[in-house]
Amino acid sequence: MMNELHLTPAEQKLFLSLPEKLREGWKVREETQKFEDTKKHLRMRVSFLKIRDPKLHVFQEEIKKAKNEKKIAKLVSEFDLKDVHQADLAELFFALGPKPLFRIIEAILRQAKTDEEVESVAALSLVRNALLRSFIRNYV
Amino acid sequence: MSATATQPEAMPDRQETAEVQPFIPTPERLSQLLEMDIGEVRRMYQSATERGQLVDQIMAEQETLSEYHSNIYRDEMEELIRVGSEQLAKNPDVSLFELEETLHEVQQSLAAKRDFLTETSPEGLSQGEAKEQVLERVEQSEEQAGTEKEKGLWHKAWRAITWLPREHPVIFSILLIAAAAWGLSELFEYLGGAQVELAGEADALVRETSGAAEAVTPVTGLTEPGSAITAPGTGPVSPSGVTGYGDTMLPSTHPSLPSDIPGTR
Repeated sequence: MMNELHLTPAEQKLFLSLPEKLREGWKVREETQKFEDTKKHLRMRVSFLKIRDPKLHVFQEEIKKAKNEKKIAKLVSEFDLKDVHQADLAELFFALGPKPLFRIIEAILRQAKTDEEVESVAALSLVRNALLRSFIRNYV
Repeated sequence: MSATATQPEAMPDRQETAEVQPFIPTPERLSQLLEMDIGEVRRMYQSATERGQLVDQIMAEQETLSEYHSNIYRDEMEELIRVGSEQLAKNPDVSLFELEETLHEVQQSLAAKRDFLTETSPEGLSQGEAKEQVLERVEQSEEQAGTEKEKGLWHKAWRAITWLPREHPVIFSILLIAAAAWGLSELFEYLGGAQVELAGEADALVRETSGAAEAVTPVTGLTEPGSAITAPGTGPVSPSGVTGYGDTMLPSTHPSLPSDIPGTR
């Protein structure tokens, strides 16, 4: 359910500290899975990253052509994920792994002010939940 | 080739080993499995043009092998044999133990990736696979995804992510990973300069992959912890209860490897 948030106990506390209006309509499920990622796994995942999305390839080419940091900064600041293919997003999140998502989710919850931000936590916590499941099942 | 004709290592007796295990295609195991001379298998294994024939022979027995092994997929066998062959090319004296260790790591990563992509994005399956294999996997993923409602759930989740505002930590994080995979050191260094924290030697990853992420070949080496790197925005962030990657021995062509990846502001 996209109205569910998969949160660790610490994240649940942060969520409960949000204004009631923001909490309305969301169901919290406890994220109990834990996984200790390693450099070895990360390196391997990045080595198998396959990106096909044209928007990402255009971005890659523009970065290659960028002459200086100012130009790179501009390209990065203008980049968004709109229209990026879902399969490529899945590839990128898989390479990234669940670990950074713990910190990102925590950071969003600490300063959430809009329903959209809570929705992004729902989406990211769902991704993290699936990543943890696939990692725990296969990295033995 | 038949199940009864193969050696126990290559084809475990189902009665003895109820659990279906992944197949790790070292030359030795392939020699047993395909009942071929080990020298011939090694030669084919290391030949870019001939190793496909080994994969063809494995895939010809896919149905039987799948009763015993969980990973009899063309793309996975191709990847494992490619990595194994490159390992052997770099170090012909590599021990069977080391080769198996590397291939185990590759296999685990590929299996985790298959599971994650199947659950979250069945349409994103490898284009290199045989069509029937793709269709079979889509069918499986649909079963796994369960209902239309569940499939819609992922669609909504990805849509929410695509609508994240510019300069969001998630965007920096995945650009950083892309930069590493593409070998774009300028982008990587820029992202390492402010908002997203990297505690580790992620810059080594950029050098390592050199823009050819799919062709990275693990070879044996050691890692050393590196210094923290930060990426655009607000500067370094202190770790918040997330433990770093361990100082494990890694296969690497470089002295260091990433020990952490992006966090947030």
